[in-house]
Amino acid sequence: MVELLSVRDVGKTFGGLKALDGVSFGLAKGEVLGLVGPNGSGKSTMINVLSGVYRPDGGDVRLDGRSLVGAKPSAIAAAGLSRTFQNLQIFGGLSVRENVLVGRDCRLRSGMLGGVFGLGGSLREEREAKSLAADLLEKVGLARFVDAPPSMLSYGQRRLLEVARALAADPKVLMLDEPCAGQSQAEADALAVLIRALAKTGIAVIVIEHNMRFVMNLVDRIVALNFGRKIAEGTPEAIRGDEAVIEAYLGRRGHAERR
Amino acid sequence: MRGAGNRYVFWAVALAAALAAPLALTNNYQLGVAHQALIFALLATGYNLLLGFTGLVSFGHIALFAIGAYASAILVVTFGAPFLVGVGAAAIIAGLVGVVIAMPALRIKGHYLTLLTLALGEVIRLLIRSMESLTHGSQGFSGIPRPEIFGMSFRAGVPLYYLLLFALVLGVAFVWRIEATRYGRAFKAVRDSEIGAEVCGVRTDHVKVLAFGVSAVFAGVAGSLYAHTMRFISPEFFSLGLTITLLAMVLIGGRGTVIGPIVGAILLISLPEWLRFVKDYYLILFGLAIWLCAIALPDGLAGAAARLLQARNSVRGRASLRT
Repeated sequence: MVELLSVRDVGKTFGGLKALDGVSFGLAKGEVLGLVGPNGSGKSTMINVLSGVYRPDGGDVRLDGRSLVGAKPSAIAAAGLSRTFQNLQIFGGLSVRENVLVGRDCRLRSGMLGGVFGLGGSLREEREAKSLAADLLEKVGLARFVDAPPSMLSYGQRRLLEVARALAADPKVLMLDEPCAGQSQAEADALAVLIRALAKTGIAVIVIEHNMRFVMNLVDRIVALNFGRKIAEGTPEAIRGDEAVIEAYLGRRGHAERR
Repeated sequence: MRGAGNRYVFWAVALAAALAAPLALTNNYQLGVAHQALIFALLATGYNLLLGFTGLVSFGHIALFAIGAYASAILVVTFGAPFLVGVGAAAIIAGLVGVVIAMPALRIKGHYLTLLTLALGEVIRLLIRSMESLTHGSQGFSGIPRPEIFGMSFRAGVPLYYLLLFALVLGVAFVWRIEATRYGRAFKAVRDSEIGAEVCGVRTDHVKVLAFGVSAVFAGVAGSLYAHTMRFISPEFFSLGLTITLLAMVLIGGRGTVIGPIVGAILLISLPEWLRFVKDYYLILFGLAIWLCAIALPDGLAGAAARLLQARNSVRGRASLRT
């Protein structure tokens, strides 16, 4: 497997708490990976390390062979790693389209004066970015909200807006932090179809999600975390029967009863 | 798009009113008030880029205004430079100092940033007062000439009014344009969610320095225009009280909107003149107005107007659905 993203031995400690402890996994182009584990197992910390919000204490993260450790989140986004947030980070003062355009910013080249005076191809760049934003909003099903303020959107729709915004940067890796929270079953199904379509175009996707049915039906591979350690890795079928994973979710009593 | 059409009509009417205003301003005193309103509208428009667009609360902005005023006055009076050189230098020097003030803003946030900029502003004011050989210290800098551009004199009140109006229109057009570019979006994105903006790929450090720098250039130009309009400047004028007034202009007018700071500046400059009969009680009224605005108009007058329009449209929308 040619690894697009390689996570090696990543650790992160908060005070005395090891939020991540020597976690390693790889991700190939076009692969959909599920990151699962009970609350507090380190899933969101991993996303925050990968996107540069946290700096890892140890280990290495490489995208296309280039290390991302210590880079600013904006540089990581420019390098091709985009994400959404579990607790939404929508720009309330911008329109839905403008929110997506902010996601495009790292691909835009116009300077301030060029933009203000419409020089140096800045008008064309702006036009192209706007039409790309409209296409992405169409893709996630928010086309009719293009000029609306995000406050018009439902919670589930705001999650889709974040997906469109993350896609605007032309990412190689897309990380979705609980994309189904607050979404109806129909919305979640539509999102699963979208994620598969994105993977087909070569984008690698990491999904953190509590909705197990969603994860099991969607992903190619699962990495299970507990107390900051990787406890299992494999296909959804293999993880479903994995003792360590069952134990992490349900506790030890299962063993006692079986005995 | 009817909304956009309405906006053009509104701006055209506002510009026409501003162009015709000297006809109604019959004496030099009223014209002087109008001069100040225009200068402060320009200053507030720039400050709004920082406060309203980018969400950075700086209390050091008046110091940049002062730097612009003194830079221009010193160059023109002491060194005999032409007015345009004075304005240009004021813009550049204030802009550079603005960028320097921005540096700590990359490290500290919120109230701490506000307090630090407050301190930096005071330091700059004290420096101006103590550099007596250049600035004439606390006795003030007098004898600053009215602007003259390529032999054209703006000595009389009415031509000066149009020069100041021209500067304001340029400044407003700049902000209006910037709002539609990636920089306008980046400013607002930093304001609404800094972490969201950074993770989306916006270089937030760069954006903050830019916001400080551009708003400082506005302050520098406004300062130069102020010096050459009033013809006398002193360190006492650029005090903390003026910082609060500037803040109030943007907050009462409506931060984050293009029109808000202009409305706020006109209101806060002309209101004391209208309320002259209540004398010192003016300050009580002023305090009450800010208090009321904070409670009833959190988005300022411009925000309240927008909400009124929206409510009217949605009522209309519902009515048309029914028929």
